[in-house]
Amino acid sequence: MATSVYLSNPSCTINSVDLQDQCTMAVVNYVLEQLETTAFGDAARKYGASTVTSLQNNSIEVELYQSYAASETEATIFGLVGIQTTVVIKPTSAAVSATNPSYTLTGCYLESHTPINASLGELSTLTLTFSGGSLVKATS
Amino acid sequence: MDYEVTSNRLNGHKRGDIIKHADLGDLTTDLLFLVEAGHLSPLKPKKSVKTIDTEQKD
Repeated sequence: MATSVYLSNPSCTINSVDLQDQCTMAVVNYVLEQLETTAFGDAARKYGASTVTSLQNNSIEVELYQSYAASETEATIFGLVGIQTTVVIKPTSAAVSATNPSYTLTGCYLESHTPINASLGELSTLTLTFSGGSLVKATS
Repeated sequence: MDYEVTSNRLNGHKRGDIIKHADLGDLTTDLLFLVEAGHLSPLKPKKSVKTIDTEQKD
């Protein structure tokens, strides 16, 4: 039976800081770069092989509500621009398990941040993209 | 050095907890970022109190 999973109670931890109650969207992109291994004698193009290890090219995108209060979004994010950090995303805040895996992107880089992104009558939000780093999936 | 948790957002810790750098796991940034963001406060080591001999010598 098909099931659809939506992040109703996700855990979003950036640099060890839990920003779950400010987070409205999270996308984890797990990418292993495609390397061509086609050779003479092949009738079709091939990519990868058991002996070929390509580079990861991962990213995590999150959308957060902006808050300038103490220890909230702005205070936590502003200092992370231009350095490496760790982001952890889980489907729910429950303990890590096979049905609630955690995805940890270690050594990812935050290139940019929009401290002010405000419109009249709307809650201020910011979208962050953490690029690079090594992604590990844990189920226990 | 020990640090006191000063916010309720630090993963796995409560406000008032006393933790060390290692307690935060694979943190890839300097702890200063968490101090500046208001999540941690460094605890200064207390100096030992010197005792004063108050007994009068004969």
